[in-house]
Amino acid sequence: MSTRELASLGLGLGWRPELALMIERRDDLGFVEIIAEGFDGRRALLAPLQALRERGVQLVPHGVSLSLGGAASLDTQRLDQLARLAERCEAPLVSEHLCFTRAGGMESGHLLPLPYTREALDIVVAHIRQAQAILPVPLAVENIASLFEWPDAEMDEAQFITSALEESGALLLLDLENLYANHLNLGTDMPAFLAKLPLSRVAYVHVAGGFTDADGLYHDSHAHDVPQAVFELLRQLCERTQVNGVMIERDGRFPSDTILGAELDAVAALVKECREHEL
Amino acid sequence: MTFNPFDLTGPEFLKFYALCFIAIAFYRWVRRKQWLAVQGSGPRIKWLPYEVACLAGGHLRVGEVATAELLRKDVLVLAGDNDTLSLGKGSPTGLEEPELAVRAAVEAGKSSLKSVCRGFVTPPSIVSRLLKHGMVANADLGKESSPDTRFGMWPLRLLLGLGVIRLVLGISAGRPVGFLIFLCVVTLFVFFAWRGVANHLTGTGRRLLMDRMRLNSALRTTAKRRGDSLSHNDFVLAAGLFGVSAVLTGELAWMSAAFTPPPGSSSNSSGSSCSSGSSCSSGSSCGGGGCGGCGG
Repeated sequence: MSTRELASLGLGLGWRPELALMIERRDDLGFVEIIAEGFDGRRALLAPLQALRERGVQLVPHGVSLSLGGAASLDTQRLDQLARLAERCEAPLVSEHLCFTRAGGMESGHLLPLPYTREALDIVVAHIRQAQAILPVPLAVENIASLFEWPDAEMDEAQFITSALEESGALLLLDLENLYANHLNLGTDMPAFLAKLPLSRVAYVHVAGGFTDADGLYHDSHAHDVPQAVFELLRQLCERTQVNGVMIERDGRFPSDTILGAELDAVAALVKECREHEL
Repeated sequence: MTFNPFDLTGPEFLKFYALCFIAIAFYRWVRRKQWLAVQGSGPRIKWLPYEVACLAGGHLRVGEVATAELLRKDVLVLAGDNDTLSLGKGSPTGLEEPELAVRAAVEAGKSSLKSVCRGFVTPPSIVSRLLKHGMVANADLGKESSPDTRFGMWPLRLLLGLGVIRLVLGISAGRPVGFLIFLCVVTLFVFFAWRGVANHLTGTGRRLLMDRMRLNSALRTTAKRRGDSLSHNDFVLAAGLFGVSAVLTGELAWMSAAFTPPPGSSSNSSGSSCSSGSSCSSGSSCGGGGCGGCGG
């Protein structure tokens, strides 16, 4: 599937209770992303989300615990819950991470990177296909930020992602801040990374902010302003392809509505500028 | 063939009694819902936040909201005992009428937060507009029973009478009556609870209040997490609609002990009986969370 078959998402923001009022008052939002694990698809949507839905704002469930790249078989209960939630939200798609979160019966509590090997690729493709068979809507998988890489890689991250998308038919949720984090922490070549990806499969884009710790490691906190470098990456992306949707993730240290609103405005202006440039 | 409930055996009578009780409760629920649906929510006019607070919780709610807002603005300060109010360094300019009234009370020597709030009288300008548009039953916000509170009362009285007669017959015949006593006590409790349902709102006022609660679900959701981030109008509206304790979050959490009644106390429960009709409380515990800090 390509994003041409997907309805345009437009400008978005991660829905968090702290931002519910601000989101309600922004009339230019095309979609909001909700953390799937925080909701029960068997129950009615929260009133603010239902109100957004009625207003035409699309809701995109975003999973954080499916462990698509884990060697263990997929947790079908979590998968069913994600499917129910997608139906409840009348979501255009759902998204998850290209990572693993549990192994040997233990939950890591973090999104852990996959070894970029053929074996790991086969597992993740099989799991994506299994998820696609159950989910009522397309699945987009997200590139993650990591602080380390497994040894003995047989390909780089971009090749791994591209193969996973091509072999499974999944869409890509491109997180530009994760790419930026990997550039700072692992030396990922950002333009080369973007050049290798099948950009026609980008369902939507995440931007967010993080911080650098005392050891010089950049952490994808979602609790800081979007760095200028991430805006620049978004510009580069928009120059290469028509972006279907862009959203800001903000999970903590919530700024005033004015500051976050200005960030959203900047994202919207950048995407609009690129589109006008294309025309 | 005629049906005589007194011909029923003990267990059969208990089932009959319980079914009648459920049917009466259902009838009342349906009638009240129908009654409320035809009330309309009054004229489409802009209501000010303190008017909505008055609608939701009468004098006490307005007093609490005004006091909380003055504490938030440092116009008042609260001593360590969480009850003693005094004037703070915040500027009193631009205050609204209820806030000026609370400040004046503290300035005049009334220093207990509880007594300031409990003794608060909403300024007439707020009440008169609500009264003019038929939202409150009377000018002093006194409680009145509206017609819907009487639905199902007669059948409940009859059921209770039937239960008592059967109880007397059972005792005189030396039968075990423990379950029947329990059901009669429950019925009596419900009878007084239903009879006690009275508030200062008219049907139109209740409908408007329910609409406001539904329309402001996003405000409530954010207030429950980040009350300190709200603007003046949003803070007053959220605290007015959902109660002051619902917005004392984030950097305002220090105030919550002062406004939260101790267990068993009803000092903060002045809200109208309408809150149960709100759709805002449904759903899960607000979800959210996010995946920040873990690479997602």
